[in-house]
Amino acid sequence: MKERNIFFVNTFILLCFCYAFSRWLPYYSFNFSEGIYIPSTGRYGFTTVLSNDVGFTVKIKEEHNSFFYYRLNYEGPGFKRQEGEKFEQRTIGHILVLQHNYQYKNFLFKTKFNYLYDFWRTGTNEAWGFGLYDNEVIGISEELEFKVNNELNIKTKFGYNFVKFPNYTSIIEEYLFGSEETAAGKQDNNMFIINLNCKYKLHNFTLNTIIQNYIEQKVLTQSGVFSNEKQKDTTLEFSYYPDKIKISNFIFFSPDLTIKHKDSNQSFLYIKSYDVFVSTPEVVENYFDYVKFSFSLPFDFRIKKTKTLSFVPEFELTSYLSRSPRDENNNFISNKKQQNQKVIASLVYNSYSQNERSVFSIFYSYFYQTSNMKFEKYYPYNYSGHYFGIKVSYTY
Amino acid sequence: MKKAILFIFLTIFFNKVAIGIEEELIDAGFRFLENPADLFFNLGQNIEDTSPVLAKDFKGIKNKYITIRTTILPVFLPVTLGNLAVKIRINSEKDYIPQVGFSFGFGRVLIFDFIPTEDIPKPQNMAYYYSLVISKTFEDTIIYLGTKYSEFSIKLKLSEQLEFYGEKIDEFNFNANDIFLFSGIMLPKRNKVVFAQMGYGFKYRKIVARLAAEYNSVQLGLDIFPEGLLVLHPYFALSIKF
Repeated sequence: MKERNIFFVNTFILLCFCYAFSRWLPYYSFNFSEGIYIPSTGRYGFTTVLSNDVGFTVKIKEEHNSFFYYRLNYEGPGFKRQEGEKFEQRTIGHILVLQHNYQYKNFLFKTKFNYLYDFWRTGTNEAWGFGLYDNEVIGISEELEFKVNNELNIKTKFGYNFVKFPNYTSIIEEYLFGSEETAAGKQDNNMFIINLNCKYKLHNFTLNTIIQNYIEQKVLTQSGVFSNEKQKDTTLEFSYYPDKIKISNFIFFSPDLTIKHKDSNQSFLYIKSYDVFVSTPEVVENYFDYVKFSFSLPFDFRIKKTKTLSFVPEFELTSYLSRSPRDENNNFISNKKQQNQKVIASLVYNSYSQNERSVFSIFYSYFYQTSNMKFEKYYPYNYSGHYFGIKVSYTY
Repeated sequence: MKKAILFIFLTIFFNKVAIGIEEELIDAGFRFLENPADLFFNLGQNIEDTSPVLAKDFKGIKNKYITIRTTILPVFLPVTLGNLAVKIRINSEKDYIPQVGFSFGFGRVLIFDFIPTEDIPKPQNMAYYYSLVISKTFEDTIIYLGTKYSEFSIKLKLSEQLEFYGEKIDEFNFNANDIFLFSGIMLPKRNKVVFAQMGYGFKYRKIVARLAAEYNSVQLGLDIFPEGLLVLHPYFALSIKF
């Protein structure tokens, strides 16, 4: 976009906000944290995390209200929670949400439109905007909340997202099959979300289903050629979490348990070496199927009216259903299934301002991850590490 | 206590050279040579004053229309980037009308004027910005949104070629410029205004943020460039308001 056009667009946004500022109730949030991460393998580094939310709530009538917000966030290098991500990876995200709520007797209808664009930068030489995993999401969802009585509340949600990866290509496929198999849009997919949530007294139970139908990506067959079947991933997730439980006037407890199952019809093309004289490509079926258990047991200790101390232990176990782990030389270890275990223990001291609009925090986290996957040339699987720093937040 | 901890962290983080100083410096040198424009562009943004002029009398801070500011650290000292920034508010906000203001400023690396230019062309350099900002007060909090254009250009031919671990440099010649959209929050306190803002540059997809405290004649703050050579730029500026 030309600079002049950008300036005009910005001015238009300012005018919109000018109107919004004058009429509607705003929401604003700023978060900044800076810390050091020190892994047991690899180099230490500095982590910057920034986010900025601007939003408005519009009350049209008693039963109608709308909510709009825009979030800009940046996440720097550091320990990653998602498997297969490098410490050095950074992301910039833009999120736009427009939601309309309509209350009819005991029913609350929430219609939501969302737009997201994530820029990824996996290496220092990669420029923003050219990331392999840059992605764009356009979605719409409808949620229905039914308040049965004061103790029971039921929610159901249907959502659709179109997910686009504009820069994605598979280098391995390009190498093996030529440019025909690297056409753009291989990771683009239609995502359908079905969510059911039930709240009884303090207890929340959620069942979430995500179905991803890939538009272009075909399934790799055992013979090493692509079939006419398109890739399809299904994720089923059950979670339980209560509202904050008051143990005493000073101690609060909010546990969380999640069980997730992923199933994909896609196979994995395994190549030990790019030298075709040394290595023959091998197709591994059900490579991406797994079950993941995760739970956390956070405790909040209220030291003073404006000071809290939180202790958050988290545990995660990922068990692959068909994938075998690999040894240091990239050979599959037969008769075993890959398993990853992760433990994160965090201690956070929070100091709130009197009106609770600003928070200053000091945090320390200990990461410990183990796996029977020993091939770590590209991604770390076995490491421990320390992460500490400060965080500042302002909210209105 | 809070300020002491913050100071310790800043000391550690600033320049990223607290641990393994030699290795860090060499790494920083290569990163600077790879993209010298980025560091200067960030320094150029240290001179900017884009937050709105305070709209009302708040807890000892007087209602003003114009602020003129010059940033001392880290631009005039040590880079000799002489600078001036002006921000003006056009109106006073009313029930349904937000405050509108604009700001502009410029800077120049003064030491370039003292480089002998017998064998080389005269160095050229200029940093400037202009911005438009709207703001509204909600209870005791001000929320604002703005857009700005920032530019930093340098044309400098070195009299002798420099060499840094095999990398050869004989000139600095760049023009870095971008248009940003930013938003922020101001929290007036007893004798100061604390504010935080974050912006996004469309051309370089650049994130910039600022955390600062504005007193009657002094502004102390921290500019944050998460992808910059120096992530944190603590700054100190003097200002006059009338």
